[in-house]
Amino acid sequence: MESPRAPLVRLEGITRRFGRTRANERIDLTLRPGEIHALVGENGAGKSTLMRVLYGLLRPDAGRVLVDGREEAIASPADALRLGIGMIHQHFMLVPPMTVLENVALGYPGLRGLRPLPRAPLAARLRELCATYGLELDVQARVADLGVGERQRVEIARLLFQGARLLICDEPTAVLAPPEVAAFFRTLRRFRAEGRGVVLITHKLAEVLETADRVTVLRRGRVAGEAARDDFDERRLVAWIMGAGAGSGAAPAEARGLPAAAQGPSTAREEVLGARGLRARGSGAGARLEGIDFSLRRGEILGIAGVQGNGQRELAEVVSGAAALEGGEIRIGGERVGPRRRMAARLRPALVPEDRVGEGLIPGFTLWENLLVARLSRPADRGGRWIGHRRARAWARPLLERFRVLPADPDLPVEALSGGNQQKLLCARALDRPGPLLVAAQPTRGIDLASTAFLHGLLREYRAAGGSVLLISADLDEILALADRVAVLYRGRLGPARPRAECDLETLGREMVGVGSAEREAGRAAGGDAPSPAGEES
Amino acid sequence: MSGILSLLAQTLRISVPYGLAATGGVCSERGGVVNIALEGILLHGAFFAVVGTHYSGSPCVGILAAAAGGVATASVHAFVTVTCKADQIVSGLAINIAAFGLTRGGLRLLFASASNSPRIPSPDAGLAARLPGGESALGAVLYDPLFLLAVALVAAASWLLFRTGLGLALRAAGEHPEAAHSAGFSVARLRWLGVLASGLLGGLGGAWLAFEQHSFTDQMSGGRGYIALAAMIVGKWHPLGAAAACLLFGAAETVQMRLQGSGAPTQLMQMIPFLLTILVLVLWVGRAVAPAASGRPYDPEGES
Repeated sequence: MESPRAPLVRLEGITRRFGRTRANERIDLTLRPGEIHALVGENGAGKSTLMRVLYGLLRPDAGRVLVDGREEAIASPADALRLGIGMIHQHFMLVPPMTVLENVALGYPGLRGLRPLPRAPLAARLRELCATYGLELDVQARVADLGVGERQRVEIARLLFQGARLLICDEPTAVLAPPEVAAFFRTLRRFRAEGRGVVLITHKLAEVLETADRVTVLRRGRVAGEAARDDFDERRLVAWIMGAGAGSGAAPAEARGLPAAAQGPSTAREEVLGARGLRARGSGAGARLEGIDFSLRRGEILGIAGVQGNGQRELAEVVSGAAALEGGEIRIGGERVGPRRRMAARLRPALVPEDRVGEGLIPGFTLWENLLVARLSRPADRGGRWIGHRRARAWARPLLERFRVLPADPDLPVEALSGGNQQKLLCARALDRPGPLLVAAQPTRGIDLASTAFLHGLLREYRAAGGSVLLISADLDEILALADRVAVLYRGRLGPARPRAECDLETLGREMVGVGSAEREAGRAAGGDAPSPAGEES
Repeated sequence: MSGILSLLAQTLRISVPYGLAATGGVCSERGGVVNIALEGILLHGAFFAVVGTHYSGSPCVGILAAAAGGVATASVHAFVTVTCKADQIVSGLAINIAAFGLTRGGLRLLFASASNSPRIPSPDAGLAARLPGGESALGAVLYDPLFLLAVALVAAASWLLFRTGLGLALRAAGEHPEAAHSAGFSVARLRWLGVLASGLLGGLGGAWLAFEQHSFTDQMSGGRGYIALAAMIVGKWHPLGAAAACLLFGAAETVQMRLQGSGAPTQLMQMIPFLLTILVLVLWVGRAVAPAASGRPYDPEGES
């Protein structure tokens, strides 16, 4: 690995925008054969976009792709596959009702036309390949009946079957159990030994440190750092991922000209929202909650830091009453909510959900309709039995202006707003009715700096007025700028909440990717089944 | 004995257009496009069969014209739903309504009639005259060249969908278009293909209707396109299953027609095919699972 071979693929100056967001901004990347190249960065840093460009799923706005030194126009996955580039997607690209064999045969060159599928020889070859690579698979099984780990093996087998020279793996271990992770990395090392190239997109620094020969860190669509194996360590990676300000604590927030979080001990005040031993089922790619304790007090912002998929969505759903508990209890408004008691509508906190358009706003509805839907369950709030359109517009307009939603036209469809303005609209809806409690999940994700600053200001005002906020965020800058106390959520478990003054970016960043959690678990002498950081094989 | 055989012959006659249209529906929906335009495709097929036969004097030309008419109608549906990604139900309905109007207009224009065309000859390859049993009612169906073509096409569709790489890709486009795209296929091209195949099959189904009556009559498809779609579902989106369901419907219709002369209330008798459909669906078929992405337009850069 020391002597760099001729590059397999070179990306030069790749730029790709979505609307006004620059997902990739002049990115250069060199991928060599026999090398595992980790691609790291926060959510929305542009990793997946870049790889989708390379695989022909997205067209770049600018830049070029060189394969074996020749410039290639990769306009579709067919082009990528022809060049030996294969991708294992985060959401598997398998057809569930079909068998493993059929999925592998799908798109195989020479098996695309009217000739009958040679099932028996195909199955024999596939079994042989699986045996060679130690991929345990029943080639006649229906994919729908397979577990996640097996499905991933089908994807790997398919790419090997097609003779891919470069494998792009998009967060391959996020969905795997530890033993499967170990097997997966054994397979990757084998690819490397055979001289294939691997791109490993991951959030887990332990995996990078353990397996990568080279790493490229993306931040906000740009390359934040690149280094070969001997030239990076965890500290440098965290600094690159979190931004250059990693050494200087909460400086970014101050740099934006915002006041720092309010001082003063809040622990003495009364509790507004309490959780004891919360357990809840994981949804989709998320994690299950395995006993969450916290106490949110009046006039306080409690920051829940963590990388997406560690239980954030589940936590927001449970404390806002949208999902049922499996165990434990929530204390809210002087009442207790347990597994068999749903949260009464009057108790529910205002919620700014993580998924802006999917859960929060209704596409196709106008701004005023989107503002009004939150009040429909309470006839008293909406001012009567019928919806008066003129009155609803007149009610919506000042709200839009107060929360600086631009353009402040109640009749616009909600899609006409930029992400930042959609988020302001959601906040307007959540905050327009005075309540003591707000749950805000990823309130500024993917949003420009000005809107972020405004939204942060709103949260501070809310706190100053005596409101309490449970702030769930993957952005440490945001957590440190706003929260009075901070706790880290990792794999469905919440660490202790510490005052902001005792937190620094680096330690939190490490805990977020599970590096520090081993000591924490040991220190607490908690139950012995704590999951260790992934990629522990060797 | 001959009574049973003639019942069987009638059942087959009735089932042919259902079977062709239902198989067409399978091809289209397996690729991910709901094709309720089959009703209009049947009607156009019938009309073009008559026009082709009338002006050329040859039923062979009529069959080709029916196929071309069906494919042309289907290509409108494919353009609207696949290329323009518009709603598949609306497009299908529009095509059906347009087909009623167009064929009626065509009748006036070409044959100066509001209700029916002049009589046309049916295709005859001379098999019935040469082979044993050709004079019987059953022989007349079994040796009909269009019937043989229909059987061959249903079998071919089944083989194509489930035995070839192309069929695999087409089914992938209907189940999980992202996966088909990621495997290197053009989902749009596959879906076009499926819809055009349904046009070909539906057009031939229409030709059968026309040759059965030896003429075109206004609105002669009579809802058969929709019944074919029901048969497709009962047959679980498999050409052979759909064909079996069509035979069942055909048998029910035959029985109903025979009973009409027996003095039983006609209105009750006419319910038989539909009651049977519901019964079979509930008791025998169980849960029918449509191709997962059927009805959903696919935009390759849509999700990012």
